[in-house]
Amino acid sequence: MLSGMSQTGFQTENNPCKAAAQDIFGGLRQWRLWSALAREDIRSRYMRSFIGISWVTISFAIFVAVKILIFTPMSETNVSFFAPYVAIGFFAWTFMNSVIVDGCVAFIGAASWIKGARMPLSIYAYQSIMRNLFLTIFNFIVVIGVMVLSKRSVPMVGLVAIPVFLLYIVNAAWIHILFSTIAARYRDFMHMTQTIMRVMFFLTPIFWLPENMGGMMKILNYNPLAHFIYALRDPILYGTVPMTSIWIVIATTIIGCLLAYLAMVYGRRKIVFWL
Amino acid sequence: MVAAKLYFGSSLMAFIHLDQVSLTYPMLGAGSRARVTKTALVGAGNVLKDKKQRSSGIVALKDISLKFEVGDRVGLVGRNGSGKSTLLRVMAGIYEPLEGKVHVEGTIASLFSLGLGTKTEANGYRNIELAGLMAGYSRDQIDDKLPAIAEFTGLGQYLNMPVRTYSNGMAMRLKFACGTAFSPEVLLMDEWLGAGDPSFQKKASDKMAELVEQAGILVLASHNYQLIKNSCNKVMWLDRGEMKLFGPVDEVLEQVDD
Repeated sequence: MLSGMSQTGFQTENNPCKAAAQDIFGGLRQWRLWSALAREDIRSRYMRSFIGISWVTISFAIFVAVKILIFTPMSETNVSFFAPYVAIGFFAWTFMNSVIVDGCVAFIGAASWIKGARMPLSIYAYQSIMRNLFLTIFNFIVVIGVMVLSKRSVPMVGLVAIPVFLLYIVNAAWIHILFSTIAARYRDFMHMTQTIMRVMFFLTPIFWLPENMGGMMKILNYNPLAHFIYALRDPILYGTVPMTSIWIVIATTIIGCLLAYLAMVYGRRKIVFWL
Repeated sequence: MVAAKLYFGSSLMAFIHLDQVSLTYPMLGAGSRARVTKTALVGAGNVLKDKKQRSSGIVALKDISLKFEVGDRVGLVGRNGSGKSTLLRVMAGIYEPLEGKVHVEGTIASLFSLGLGTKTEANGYRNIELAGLMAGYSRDQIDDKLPAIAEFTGLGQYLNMPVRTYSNGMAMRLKFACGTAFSPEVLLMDEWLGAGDPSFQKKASDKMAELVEQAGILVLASHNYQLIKNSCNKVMWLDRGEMKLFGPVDEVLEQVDD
């Protein structure tokens, strides 16, 4: 049993479906632990650096600034539209990319913890998501800065972006659990994912506009990541709700959660031996 | 079992029950190219073959049933690879066997390899805090215990330094103090006290004795028979993943041939 007092006694659960659910939901209850672990991750990453975590904001700001500088002329639009377009798109992309890349190594990276104590495996997924959420706040500062500088007001419909971002977080959870399980067993998976993400960066409308792509767009719309971007960006930027994209995001969330659950049912007790 | 349910979460009756536990390690990274010969495996040595006669796993534990009750101080002995560490990890719930049942009652402290569950970049205090959170305690409870744990480590100012700067012995002091601070009822140790200096070894074995006296169970895997004679009242002899003998210390140690 994975109880809140996790190093108290336990009894092995021989029903893998029940054990997987206990792991996923029992892990959520340990929020104190995974928040503390996430905080330590960030502390050690920026330890002994002079400006510390400001590096996140600075590097994101520079990257966005350069993108705006180079791609605005090509976009055939003006800066006051294109700057927030790039900032929001790249903000969403950065979060998705780091969730997918980190999502492969949550269990591998926590190997020494998994082998050291009986804990729900999901806490290492939540730890990684928490870390990414914290870092994404520092990127969000840049988005706000760009919105203010380009004097754009956000329409009421823009609030739709909030529940969409919550869906991003749910997606982060299934991606972490599913991908970390696969990557623990098949080490090629992580490298494959990184390679794919590098290509996807160019195939996702972040610094180019879909309407400039002509017939190509038919194919590019098969990219689910593009729909995640539309679902977040369109309400803020155009004041419209892209229903097709939102349905694709919801469907992805449901299918992903089911797959992650199945991965836990199948892999939960084997993962420690794969590490 | 009924009594166990009644007392769940209380400190009155710690126990370890294993019922026909078998455990097989998958052999990843070795695959079909692995040259597994009988002589290569001094320990468990039971290599499972799949349909194509490739080795697919190693049987680490075979059909182990046991019941340890309050007051049991059990020494685990056996050759390298006989399954001692695996058995301890099964008792800690880290490895879940595919066959058989494990039921452990009481708070568990497992003291295994040094590197496990440590943030080497964080300082000693923060690692104590993390260990407390891992054990399921609130920040307030941890803050209450912190001075006592810090005192027990005897590390003083070093607790403000990152753990990566610690020597083996210092890291061991920290882990031992963290592991035993919250009065565990089940103490699982894997050949462990070697790195400490004599004064700390004395301190640690006193602490162990104290914990066992407070209605606890100790399971200690070791090749040091003197340590086992001093700390244990029962010995379990493992051979190739099977329980060969279990009984009073002298009786079993007499028959063990290393």
